[in-house]
Amino acid sequence: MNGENTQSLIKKCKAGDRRAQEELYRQYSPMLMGVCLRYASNKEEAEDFLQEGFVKIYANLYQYKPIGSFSGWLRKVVVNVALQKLRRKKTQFVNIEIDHLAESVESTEDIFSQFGAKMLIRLIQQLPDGYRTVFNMYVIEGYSHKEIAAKLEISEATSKSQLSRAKAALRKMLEQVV
Amino acid sequence: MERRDQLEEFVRNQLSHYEELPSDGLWRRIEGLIPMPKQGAKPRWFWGLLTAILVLGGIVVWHLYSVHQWKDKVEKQEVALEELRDELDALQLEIASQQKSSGKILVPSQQAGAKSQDLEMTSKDPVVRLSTSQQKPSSSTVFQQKTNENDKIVEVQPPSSLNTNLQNSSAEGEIEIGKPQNSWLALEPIHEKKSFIEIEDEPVDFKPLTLSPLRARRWAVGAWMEGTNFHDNPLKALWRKARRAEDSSGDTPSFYANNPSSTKTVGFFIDFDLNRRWSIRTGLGFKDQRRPLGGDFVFEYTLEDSQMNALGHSVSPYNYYDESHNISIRTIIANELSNEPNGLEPGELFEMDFEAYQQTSYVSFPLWISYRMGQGRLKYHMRTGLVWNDLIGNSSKIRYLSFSFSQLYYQGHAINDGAIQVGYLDVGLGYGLEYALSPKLGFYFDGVMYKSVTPIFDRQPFSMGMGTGLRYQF
Repeated sequence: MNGENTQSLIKKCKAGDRRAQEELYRQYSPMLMGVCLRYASNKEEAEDFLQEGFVKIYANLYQYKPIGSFSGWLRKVVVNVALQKLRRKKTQFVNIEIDHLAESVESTEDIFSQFGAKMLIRLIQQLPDGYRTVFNMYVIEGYSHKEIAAKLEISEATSKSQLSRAKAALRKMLEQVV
Repeated sequence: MERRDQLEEFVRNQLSHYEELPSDGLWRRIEGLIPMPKQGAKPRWFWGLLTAILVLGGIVVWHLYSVHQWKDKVEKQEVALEELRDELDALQLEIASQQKSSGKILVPSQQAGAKSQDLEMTSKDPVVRLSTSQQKPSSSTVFQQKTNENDKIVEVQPPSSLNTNLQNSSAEGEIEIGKPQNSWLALEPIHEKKSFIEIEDEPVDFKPLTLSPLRARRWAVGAWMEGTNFHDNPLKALWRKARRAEDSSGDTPSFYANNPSSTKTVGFFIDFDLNRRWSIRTGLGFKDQRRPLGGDFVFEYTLEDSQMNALGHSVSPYNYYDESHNISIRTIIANELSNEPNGLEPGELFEMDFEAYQQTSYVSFPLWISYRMGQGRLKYHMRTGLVWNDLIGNSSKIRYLSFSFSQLYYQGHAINDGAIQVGYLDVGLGYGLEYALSPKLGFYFDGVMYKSVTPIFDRQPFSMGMGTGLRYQF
């Protein structure tokens, strides 16, 4: 979809055009669902994030300025909704002992490549909320530990620790599946 | 270490663009929750402008009402004075008719209540003085005519309407409206020819009341200078408390903070005074704008960071100005460390002073409307208007830093996601004092606030500061 059409769609959505709103949903919901699935522990929770995310998108669409990419803005809104939900859920950012957690398991890129994205998502969803959140923010969204610490109101050390353990746990799960 | 990087890269590649369709019924659920669009949601600058217009509108209405009342009062006074003139004319005619009958000339006396002396009045130059007096109170105005022939005072009753008007006479030649007092007119003979006054030629000494100050239209020229700091939010600038701001996405960037930038303007102006209070100003100014690009920071170089960062270096800078700098400073430091011959040991602290700024120059074309209040030497004024700023120069400068200019250029480029615009429009509001050094030369000093209604780069900040200038009126 080119920029002009997107702007036109946004304009109609701002005016409350229900068809345009549905069109926006059809176009962007798969991408945003992918984001939500990474932060949620299951599909139902992901859809819950997505639902609230879209409601917030439509409510705040008039504030959107066409400076950056629209999909980037949508993604940001949904991530913030997910983080807000997780905060409400009182996610505990504590170090959870995972049985037989190995720090130095031999694994190669070839092993990783055997997994499809869908399988990987399911594995990430099995991580504890705190691990999963920090892992997503750091690895995929590209936030620094300082930024993660500020957003989640935890210390940088906790963020680093959660990431380290998330990666170890994920690696362990990958190896078990393989 | 290597495996961890591979894991991150693998996950990133797999999931960055992962898409999955939600359940079919989700849209129906969302549809029922979508709020109605905010009708007429206006940007903040709109409300600021509206407030300024309402305030100025209020002042204009108040001013017009005051002028209307004043004009009404003056008109009433002029009507009263005109009636008084008519009555005096009638009185003069009556005196003239008395002269004809008595063969004497009546003129106003120079002294209130002057007593007639034994005067030798000839038939050639008989004179009687017409005077007003407060020293001889009387319930009615009386004309006294005295001659040296029979030393007899002839009392003449003036026209009845004159009583009312002349009750307000306080002294000869002066009329005060609305100040009742007892007075009378005495017609007295005098013998000094040199003090004789031809009644018919004597103009009534009334200074006409006019609105001359409001009617004056004059030109003025002057020079002005202003210094402002601009911010995304003036409240932050004032209180320096808000270190975070929530953008439209609900995001709360940790590093969003004040980005104070200084603006200095010098120029000259021309004022056209519509009247004593209102004037229109235009002119030409040269504006120098500087936006800091960095600050002081300290970072700790740690083993864990070095393992995680793809470049082999990672930093945790502090005390920078906004989130954009995080990226750029990080990159610069990473480059610097890569070039460092000895390198830093893990856990070592690295401190650095950093000062850089981006400088832009503009030619400014102001169009203001000013309203002056007060009287005397010290006045106060309000002004509002638009200023178009046309970009004439853009450069980046750096100080106290060992980095090369190319690195700074990279940083500047990173900061300005939105390019510097070729020009921008400000709406401004000023309030201050004006002191008259002489009848023509004035000095003013005021506080000014601007809001850019078009973006300067990717933002439309507020500016607050002080302005001063000299004004010479022709």
